[in-house]
Formats: sequence, C-alpha cells, structure tokens
Amino acid sequence: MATHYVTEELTSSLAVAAGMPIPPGQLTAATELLDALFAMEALLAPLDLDGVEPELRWDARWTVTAAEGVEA
Amino acid sequence: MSYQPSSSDLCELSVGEAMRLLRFGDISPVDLVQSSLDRISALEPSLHAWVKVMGDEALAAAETAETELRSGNDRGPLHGIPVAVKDIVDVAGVPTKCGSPVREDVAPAETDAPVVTALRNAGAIVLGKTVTQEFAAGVISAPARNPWNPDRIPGGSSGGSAAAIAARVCPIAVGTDTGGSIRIPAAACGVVGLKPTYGRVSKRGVYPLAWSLDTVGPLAATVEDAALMLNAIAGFDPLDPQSTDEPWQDATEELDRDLTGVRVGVLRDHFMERVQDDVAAAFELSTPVFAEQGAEVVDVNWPEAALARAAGMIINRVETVAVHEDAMRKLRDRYGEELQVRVGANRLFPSAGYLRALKARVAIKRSIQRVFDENRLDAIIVPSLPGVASPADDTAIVYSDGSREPVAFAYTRLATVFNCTGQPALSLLNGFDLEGLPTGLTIAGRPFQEARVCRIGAAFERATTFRQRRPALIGE
Repeated sequence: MATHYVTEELTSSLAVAAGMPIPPGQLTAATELLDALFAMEALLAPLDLDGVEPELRWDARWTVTAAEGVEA
Repeated sequence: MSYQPSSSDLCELSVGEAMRLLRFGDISPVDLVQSSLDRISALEPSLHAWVKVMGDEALAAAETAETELRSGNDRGPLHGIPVAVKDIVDVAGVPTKCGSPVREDVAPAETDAPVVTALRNAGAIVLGKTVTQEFAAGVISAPARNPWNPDRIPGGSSGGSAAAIAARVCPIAVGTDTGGSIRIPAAACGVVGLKPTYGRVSKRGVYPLAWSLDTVGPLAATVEDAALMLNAIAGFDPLDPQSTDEPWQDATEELDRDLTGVRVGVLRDHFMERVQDDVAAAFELSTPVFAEQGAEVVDVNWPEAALARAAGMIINRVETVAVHEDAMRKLRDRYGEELQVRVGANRLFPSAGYLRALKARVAIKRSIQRVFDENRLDAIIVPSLPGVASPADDTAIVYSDGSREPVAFAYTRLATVFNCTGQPALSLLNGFDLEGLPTGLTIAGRPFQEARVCRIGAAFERATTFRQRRPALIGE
C-alpha cells in the first residue's frame, strides 16, 4: 500500500525545514514509511468525522510540584 | 553428562500445575527456580531470550517463598512461581535498557514498576529481564530466536518473553502491547498472550512507546496461567493518568465453564484478505471447535476493521516520535537505524492527520460496539497473524501468490486493530503449518470483560491438543 506522492526530495526538504535532517542513506526507507503513513490516512478519508471530538483526557489540576515539572 | 531439556523438568509446569504441587509440598519454589535457571543455562546460547538473569536474587526469593508457604503464609496462586519481565519494565536494582544502546549506561531502576510490585506481592519470583526490540518499536526482537525453529524470529516486541515461555523456561512473563507486541510474539511462538483492555493494568514504570495505546499484560503457557497473572496485576492506579477505575471480575471465574450461552462472531473482513494458506486453513478448522463447546457461532462483518488498523498505526507512529525526538536530537547515532528512520520519517506526518486518526478512533470504537451489540456477541475470533514466524535473515511473510510483505506491516496489520479499539484480545495456539511452526488465533471481547475472553480461550484450549507438541529446541 502506498500513495507514491511522497518523493525522497520531498521527504528530505521537509526534514530540513522541520529541523531534523534525514541522512541520505536513510532517505529511501524514510520516504517509504512516510508514504505508508499517508496511505493509512487516505484509508480514513471515507469516514465522516464531522462533529466527532477526539477523546483527549487532560487534567488541569495542579498535581505535580514545580520540581517535577518540565525543565525549561 | 550435559543437561538435556526434559518434559519432566519442573520448569515445564504451568502455574496451574505447579501451584497444586507446591501446596502439597511435592516441590518447592527453590526447585522450580533452579529448574528454570538450569534451562536458561542450557538454551540461552541458542535462544538469546534474556538480557539479565537474576539467579542469586531469584533463588533467595524462592527460599523466602518456601519458608512462607511452609508456615502457611500463602500469597495465592503465583506464590513461588518464576516470572520473566520484558526489559522496558522497571525492576528495582536493574537498569531498564529497553534493548537500546541509548540506555547502555542508564542507572538501575530505583523501584519496581507497579506491575512488578504486584507480582512480587502475589509471591511470584522475578527470574530476570527479557529481550525486546529497541524501545519496543518493532516485531523482530533480535537477537532472540524462536524455540520452534531457532532460524526464525520470535516476533515482537515482547519476543524474549514469548521465547522464554515457549521454551518452557517459566510459565508466565510480563509483556507490553502497543501495536500487537504481546499477541504477535505469542502467536509466533505458540504461547498465550493476553492484551488486557487499555487502562486495566498500570503502565507506570514502563518505558512508553505510544501513550494512548500502551498496554501491559501477560504472556503465559496456558489461558489459566494468563488469567491468574492478570488477576495479580490488574487494578486501578491513581498515579497512572490512563488507568481506568472499572469494576474487576476475577479473570479465572468462568474458566471451568463450557460455552453454553456464549455467542462468538467469526470475522473475516480485513483479517482473511491476505494470509498464508496454512494460517487460513488452521483458522477455518478452529471455528467449529467453539460450537462443539456449546457456543453459538455466527459470521459477522465489520467494514471498519481496516480503518482501525490505519488509525492505530498513525497514532502509534506519531506518539513514538513524541516520545523519542528530543533524545534523538542529542543521541541519534546511538539509536538503531530502524528507529532512527521511523522517528525521522514519521516526524514529518502532519499533526492534523494525527488528530484525524484520534477522531477516527472514536468512530471506530462506536462501530465495533455496534457489531457486538447488533449480533449480541461475547467475542469475535480472527487469525492472530497473517503468517508464521519469518526467517531471521529474511523478515518478510511470503504468500502463496509469491507476494511478500515485511513483517513490520504484516504482523501489525491484524494485531493493531485491537489496540485502536482498546478491547481485550487473547492470542492462543491454533495448530501448526506444514513446517511445524505455530499459528495463532485471537479472541477479542468487550472492554473490561477479560474473564469472558479467558473462558472462551480456555474452552478452546481444553478441546485441542496443540500444547502437547514440543518446540524443536527442547526436544520431543
């Protein structure tokens, strides 16, 4: 399964733009993986998800101390 | 004379068998653990299932268990039973290396993961840590090999745990399942693997792969063993944000019952579209067994099954990026190439696509609930994998039309469906292909109804004789 729209050139330039370049030796494999993921998304296209809210459980309570928080 | 594995070795006992002998005083926990350690020593040069064997600690714990049992301090069915732990799960005093050079110098874990604490509280004895694919992101689990044929992979990512169970080193092991990582190696190695409902078992102290899919559960010699282990590790953990506070039903409660009054749906959509011939044949032979045990068996359709795999894979891959991208910026060269490629590529997938997959998961969950409700089902059955364990030097599934599919896609194509839905799924041995390699059958149930899933699995296990066959590595 593949879309074949994702080229190695596209993968390479996107990776550079996103700040994590992909070494040339990994470009072919990376392009295949990214292409496969887009193909997966294309499979979802027939679903009518209008009005569907994703189940995101997030807790706004302050339950961790600052020391346990994310480093700046 | 050198050690030769034998079916009379104590380590071959299931939990169910050992617990009875332990209580009659016919065997001791020390005997059991020593038997496991002897088998590890004998097989490890071929099996490569362990990253750390905790022999001295295990023997000391076994002596304590022996004293407790003799004094009447019985902690329950797992008391004195050896258990293996996948090396992404914290065991106090042991570094959790996750199969990665990135963590080669990591400090030993300070505390046990709650799942390990629960096992110790139940009297189980930790034998050591088992091989996983790097950070549990894959299905090959090198260097571990398959006891049915050491030229084959054990599947993954809980491959070391499955190989250890299949080689009858110990009867239970801890695995984790994000895209199939309990059920895939269970099927490839011919053992039982139970992915509980998402949120049923605490995943604190377990290195994440994809937070909204990660599930901890048992690999085991028998369905009863898996149920006994699940009883020990299941439960609400208020410190795990994804833990669910649902009422618990003893997973062994229905094990002795036949399948009268149970409705089982046979699902072929997606699951039978591209499978090896021997796997398809074994699956078709399995379906009448459920009816013979009293179940009402009906064919059902679930057109969204392929979408469940797609959404599950997107969620899995993108969350894995989020887990690793910061470390990979600093330590890229210490990651294995497969994970470097995976994170590098999937980092470029758009966030809108990830959120669409999360929305799709909601719709897909509703769709499988409709299938269960409209057909009044207790469970559905499907093949666990489209093919048997692949050769270690050519990790692809080859189909009868000559086409090939890399195992990373083939194995997850069926298994990831139930990570997307979150429902419990049990893989168990369903016969062998013409080369003697195991095939697997999956029973997926309603959320939080692990007891019913185990009942159906146990009835199938009782009605078949597959477990009597022994892997090549441990001889006839």
